Amino acid sequence: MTDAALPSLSQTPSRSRAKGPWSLGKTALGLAGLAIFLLLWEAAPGFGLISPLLLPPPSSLPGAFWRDLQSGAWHEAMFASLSHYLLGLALGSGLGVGLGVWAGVSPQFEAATSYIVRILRPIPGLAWVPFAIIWFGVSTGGATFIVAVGVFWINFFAAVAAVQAVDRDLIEVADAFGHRSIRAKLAKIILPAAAPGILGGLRTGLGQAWMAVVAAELFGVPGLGQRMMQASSLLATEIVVVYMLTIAALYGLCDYLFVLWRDALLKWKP
Amino acid sequence: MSNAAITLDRLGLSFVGADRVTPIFEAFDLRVSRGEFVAIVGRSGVGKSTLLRILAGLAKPSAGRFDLALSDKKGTRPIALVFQDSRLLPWRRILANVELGLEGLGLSKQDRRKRAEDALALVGLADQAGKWPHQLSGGQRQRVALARALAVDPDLLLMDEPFAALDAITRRFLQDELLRIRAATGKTILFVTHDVDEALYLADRVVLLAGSPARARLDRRIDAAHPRARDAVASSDLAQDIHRALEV
Ligand SMILES: Nc1ncnc2c1ncn2[C@@H]1O[C@H](COP(=O)(O)OP(=O)(O)OP(=O)(O)O)[C@@H](O)[C@H]1O
Ligand SMILES: [Mg+2]
Repeated sequence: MTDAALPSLSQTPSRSRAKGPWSLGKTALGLAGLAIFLLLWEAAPGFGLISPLLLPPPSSLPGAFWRDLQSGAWHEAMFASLSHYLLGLALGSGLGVGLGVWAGVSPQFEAATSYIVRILRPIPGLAWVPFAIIWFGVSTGGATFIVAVGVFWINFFAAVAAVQAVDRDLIEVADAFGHRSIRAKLAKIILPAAAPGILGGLRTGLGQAWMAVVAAELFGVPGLGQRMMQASSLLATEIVVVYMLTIAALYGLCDYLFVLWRDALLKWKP
Repeated sequence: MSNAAITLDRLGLSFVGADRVTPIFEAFDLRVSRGEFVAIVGRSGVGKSTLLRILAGLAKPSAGRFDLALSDKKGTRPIALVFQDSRLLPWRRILANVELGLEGLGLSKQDRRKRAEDALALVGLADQAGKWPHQLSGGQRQRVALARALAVDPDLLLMDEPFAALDAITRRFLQDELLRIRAATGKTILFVTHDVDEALYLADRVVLLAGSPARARLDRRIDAAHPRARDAVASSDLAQDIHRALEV
């Protein structure tokens, strides 16, 4: 930092001056990297390095996307997946946070569930697919179940840890000012204090849940995953890529909206 | 009817560690009359904060009895505690922090707000109402904690070194403010401090805790009327006695 040698009028302006052009430069560099990546991708089949069937060039994607838009297949798959995603997420996160908070405040409940947790927790979410199919069939219910299982544990453990880490001294403040019931303590101290940790768990779940959605749909529940399987069996790889990018975009959007909401909730944080 | 606000009768409390039990109080007696302003002094670690925590219902004595005879008017809380550290809730703005004790008292939102604003004005922080705790200095936060306790208009006010973090001018201002509130409301006050001059300037009575388990090594009335001259208080015989007793 050459600025350090300047007369120390003010440190903040010099830092923001240094940051402005650099952050622009970073954006430019990122875009350049992306352009080179797309060019290499486009050129690879041309050089005969790989068959366009195995790796569809980026230029084939807009057309494929347009065709699925026209036929309505894209909307249908997208909304189906989104509903699996949101339902499963709400169910898994709600139960995970709820039971996690309970285990966090009640040592009895934590002890009573400790062995159940130890047995169930290591089971990968996808290992539940056979039961999902038996219980719910190849249906929205089955997909929702897989997604819910996929995010439950993340939220459960995040909530337990966040609640157990709440500063005892602050809980004492509630006691000192007459808020002695567990309900009052939850509302006034525990939940706000644990919110950063709980929201961190929820955000991790947002990513995990897309994995579970696609996995559940690969088994035939209508949605983005199923459309990808259909396309790949027809070797329509450009359609597969279109849906891969659709998932990336949906995840990005969900995460972006979630972060906006989280930052609004946590605006008290320094 | 007895005139005691606080009666501690052969109170006992120990902390159980890994390898030994440390008795902080053993058969400890103390009576505080209604409306009395008692300063508690004593060396670090003697049990002053622990005593306030017992009275506030935050720590359970392991032996003995304690009785509190406090009025519980509607819209107030019988006891409020100013912690040694400010302990504001970081997710609440300053005004909402001061409202904490007023919630659950059946007050309207406007009443709560009004009383919190008045309490904040009392400690000279009316203009900071909309800030977050982390945006205030340590001394300002301590004043907010004082406002939070005053807002509930407690009959018994427990204060744990409330002015220790303040500059001399703010401290004097708040000391006089506290005396004014006390004269106007007749609250019973237990005031822990390391500052002997402060104790002598404010209190009707000084109790010096010492030893392990803690005893009242010195317990003296101060009859001088308010306002007291600060330098006269500092050079009084009682001041010498207290300093000597603290050094033992
Ligand atoms: N939770 C605890 N567990 C074990 N020991 C404790 C606990 N809290 C306090 N103590 C011990 O009890 C004693 C009294 O503590 P207390 O906080 O009441 O002291 P104090 O007189 O307020 O001191 P200071 O002037 O430094 O604030 C200390 O020796 C302390 O180590
Ligand atoms: Mg203390």
